[in-house]
Amino acid sequence: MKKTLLISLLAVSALFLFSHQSAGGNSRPPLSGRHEFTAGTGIVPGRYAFTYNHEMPFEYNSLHGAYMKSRYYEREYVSGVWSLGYAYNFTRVFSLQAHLFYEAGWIERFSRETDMMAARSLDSYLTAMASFRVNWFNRSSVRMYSYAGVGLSLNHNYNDPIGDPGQGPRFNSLKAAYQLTPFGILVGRRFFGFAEIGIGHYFCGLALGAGYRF
Amino acid sequence: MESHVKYILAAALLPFVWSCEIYNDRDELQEPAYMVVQPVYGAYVYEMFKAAELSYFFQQYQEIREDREAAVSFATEYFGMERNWDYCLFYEEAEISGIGRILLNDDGSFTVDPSITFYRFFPSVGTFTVTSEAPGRFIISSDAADGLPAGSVVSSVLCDDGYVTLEDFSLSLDIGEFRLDVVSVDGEPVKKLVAPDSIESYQAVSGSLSFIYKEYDGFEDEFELGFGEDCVTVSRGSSSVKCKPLDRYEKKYDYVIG
Repeated sequence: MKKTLLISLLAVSALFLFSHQSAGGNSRPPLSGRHEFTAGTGIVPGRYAFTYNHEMPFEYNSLHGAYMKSRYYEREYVSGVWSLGYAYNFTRVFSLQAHLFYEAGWIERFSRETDMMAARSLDSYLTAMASFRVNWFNRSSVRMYSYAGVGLSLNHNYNDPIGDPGQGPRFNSLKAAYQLTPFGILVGRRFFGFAEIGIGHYFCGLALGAGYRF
Repeated sequence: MESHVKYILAAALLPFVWSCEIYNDRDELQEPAYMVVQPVYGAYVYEMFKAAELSYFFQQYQEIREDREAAVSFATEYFGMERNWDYCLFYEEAEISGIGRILLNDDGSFTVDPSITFYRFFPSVGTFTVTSEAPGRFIISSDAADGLPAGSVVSSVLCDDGYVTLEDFSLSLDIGEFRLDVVSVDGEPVKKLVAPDSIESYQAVSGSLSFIYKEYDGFEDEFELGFGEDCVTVSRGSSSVKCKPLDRYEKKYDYVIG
């Protein structure tokens, strides 16, 4: 996760540099981009913050369960949250956004004796979200804004029983998703970078990304 | 030139999308026997030490019970603190809060009702029956008649020199899904220091117990639990695993199992 953050910061800083280079002379007319496309990531991912649905394969409340558990070790992964967004600016102040983002957490369990995989558990979310944005500070290369959104997540979930990797039942379900971002800042002209602070199923904490508008 | 760099940066981000490992317990110590020994020690071995301490006190107290002043001063010295002896020390009964209640029976034996702490997975003893063989020597037992429905526990006990030794400790339980047999390992005496003040630490300091744990669906585990200064050791054959001490409090007194 630290590497992801570092690379994201480097990418965003690099794009700031590039957008300044393409700024040109003082006589440019003010930018009135109606369309924006973005790609971003969040720290920490929203569903991770609200915890994934991973079922425990062992009954922890029994001696039998304790003996079973000692025969396996587990490795837990999280993908991070990755989003693509589009915004339509009605006016300088009001915008409508659409985001598509993905996040997954998974656990792999291995036998201590043979190091072979014994079970896998996955909880993944593909979310489509619409949000309403207010751009309360708007200059040609800096904008500050807030937005709130609701969406639907397609959740794919499975928990293999121990000893049957790949054989557990799969579940797909639709879940509601929310996001509240009280503060966001966008820097750049055509190409821009952005940073946001918010809480919800998209991210809890900080979101970073870059985009292009015209 | 600009666009090339941007594409390179975008491509560099991709590998970090996958396989971000956040937890791995491959190298963590796993000793499931610890979950067996901790409640067994607390529910039976420690309780037996408590019963021995109370019995040794009460046995000596019986000699001097007529002399109230001497009796109260002996009790205060034995348990290390002033208690309201008028409310808990009588000729045929004594109640020491935090340790238990002891009664003198008509036939000269004692019944000890320990202040029970409940432990997972194993039933608590009801009471102990204590028969005294000589000064400082007892047989302490508990079974279904004493309120332990799932089996029996018995040991011969020697109290002297500030230690309590559980010789010939034997526990046998049948819980329905599994059975457990625990015996002292031959040849090693068990000793415990009788605590002059409040008993907060109860781990034995030496000796070992042999455990046989059998689940009815076929799974079995056999191991020895050894007691040492700062930890306990679980040994299976030639390999042993050091585990954290069974008691959570600062160790003040010396308990021994053999």
